[in-house]
Amino acid sequence: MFSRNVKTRTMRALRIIPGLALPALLSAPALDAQARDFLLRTPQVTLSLKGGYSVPRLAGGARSLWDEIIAEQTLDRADFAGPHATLEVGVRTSERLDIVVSVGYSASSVTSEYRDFQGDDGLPITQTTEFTTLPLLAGIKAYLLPRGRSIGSYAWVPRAFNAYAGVAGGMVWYRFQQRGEFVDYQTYDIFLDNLRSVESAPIVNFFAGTEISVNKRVVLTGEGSYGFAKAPLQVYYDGSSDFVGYSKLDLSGLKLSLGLGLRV
Amino acid sequence: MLYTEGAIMGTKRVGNALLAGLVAVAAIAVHGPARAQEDAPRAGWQPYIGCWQSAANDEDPGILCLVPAGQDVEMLTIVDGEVEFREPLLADGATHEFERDDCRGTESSYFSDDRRRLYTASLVTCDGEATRRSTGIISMPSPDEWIDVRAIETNGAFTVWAQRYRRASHSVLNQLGLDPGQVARTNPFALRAGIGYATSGITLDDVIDASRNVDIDAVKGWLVEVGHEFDGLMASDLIRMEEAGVATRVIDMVVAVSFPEHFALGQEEARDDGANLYANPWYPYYGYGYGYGYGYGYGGRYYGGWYPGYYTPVVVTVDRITSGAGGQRVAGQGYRAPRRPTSGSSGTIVSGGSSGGGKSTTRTSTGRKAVRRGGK
Repeated sequence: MFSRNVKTRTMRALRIIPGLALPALLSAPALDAQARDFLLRTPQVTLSLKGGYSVPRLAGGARSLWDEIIAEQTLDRADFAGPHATLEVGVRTSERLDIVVSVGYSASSVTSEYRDFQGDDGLPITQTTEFTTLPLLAGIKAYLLPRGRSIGSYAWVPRAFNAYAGVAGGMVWYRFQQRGEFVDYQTYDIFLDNLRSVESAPIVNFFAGTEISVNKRVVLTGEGSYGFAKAPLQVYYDGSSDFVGYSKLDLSGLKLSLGLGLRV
Repeated sequence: MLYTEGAIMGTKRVGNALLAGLVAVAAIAVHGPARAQEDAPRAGWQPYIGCWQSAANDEDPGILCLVPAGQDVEMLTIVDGEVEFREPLLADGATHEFERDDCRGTESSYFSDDRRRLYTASLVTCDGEATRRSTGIISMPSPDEWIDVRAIETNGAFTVWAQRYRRASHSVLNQLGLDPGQVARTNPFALRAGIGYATSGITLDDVIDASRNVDIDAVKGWLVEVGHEFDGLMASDLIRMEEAGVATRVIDMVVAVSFPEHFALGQEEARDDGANLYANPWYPYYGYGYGYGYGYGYGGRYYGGWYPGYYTPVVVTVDRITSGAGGQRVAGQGYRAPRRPTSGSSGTIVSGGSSGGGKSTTRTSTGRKAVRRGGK
């Protein structure tokens, strides 16, 4: 399916990303030992590791925490965009359908200061905002075309290119934390504090992508996904909260990923 | 003014010009390479040489200057451009007796082996009062400030007092008729190196060493004042401290300051207002109105300690962070500080200082006020 040159270039590129190169490295000895470019049975499971860029929506609106901190501090929605990683397991149910289970992680950390205020010593009033999400999803992944072709009773030849789309649901945990200096507008005193909320919410995630077979076991994946979720702000067991009166925190957002899958 | 002229032993009044000359001579003494080795201050003093202002009272015009004097330094208390008080500070480890007014006792101090901490000790007895014993630590958490933390024991009860000094600004020095170029920030390379070394952060070995030289409460107060997080603190570190004989309460404090996400150090000032103005750990009746409106004059109320100044008595509570007991962000209103200082329902009461506030102290006032940018 691939010329040696293409294969070599691909492998060289994969080594640039050590985390993603692992499946390729695992497959490389087998490739070298065997000349065939097909599997001796239909793969039942696909393990994928994806990484990319996460762009949270951080929707505003009435009593939106996002709106308020962005207006008050030198924060921008784009500041919370950052890398993410997803580990996915796909279990084959038919030639075009997988049941997928995935867990992801994205994090951003932004240093900011008050836009309109500074300390009476002339120094900025600074704080660090950390935003982390961890979605756990289960869903269905449908391929546009059959993923391969069975030849005879044993051989399975993977398709070089394919496209897929799917939907998954589950829960997303998030951690929003601001540490640093804060102005009490009643006294204009500057306080050191640590405000945080750790909560979870249901999420629905739509995704679509393409797969390119690197070899008979390894696929290169490009995917875009969009998740919809809104989560409450944490209320402690005693009824208190670090954030009072805000609407639910928007956790929706776009994720663009590249990854490698290993057919097992 | 609580003190009167002539009531202060050793007080000299000199004109601004003379004072400027005096400090200049001191500065030259630091700069001068030809200075005889035996006259150079002992290692450890260099970072402290210069002029300092109490962090507890920024509006006070007085400053404290430490100038070389033989192997040690001399402390000059300068108010309104005049030397109000001068006294040698000896870090020779020897016990020095003193007697002043109705008080008498002994005091001593010495630098740690690495010269980054000055350990102090004193025993003071005033007429009609119980003997007060103290140990403490002086160190430099940053190039522009130094702290003096003392645990004073009276009748078996310890109280920790802390005092923080910041390097005097140019404007203050100018007001006093001093040349900032000579007394502030223009230290020679060796002096800068000394500052860098002295402020290079504390280690667990420092904690162990401090624990062997001063009282537990002094070490705890020092840890709180410095506000240093021990990054990468491991179980083996804790075991090492325990095996080195470090008190459990000190180990607890090391853990608390190292994990600010899990422990909040709430600092409760002894009084709401002006606690730092009248605090004099050495005076038999400290805390009863003395010192309000009292300007500088470290020696003016000297009762056997080094320099009473404006020590701040503070009780610090360590709380495990389990709920939002601190400030809150309220929709449409921004941040709201806790209406009252946090207190530990199950927390351990420790002692420390209120000023400064390191990054380990959460939901505490920084002492700063917010002002609109551009003065609008």
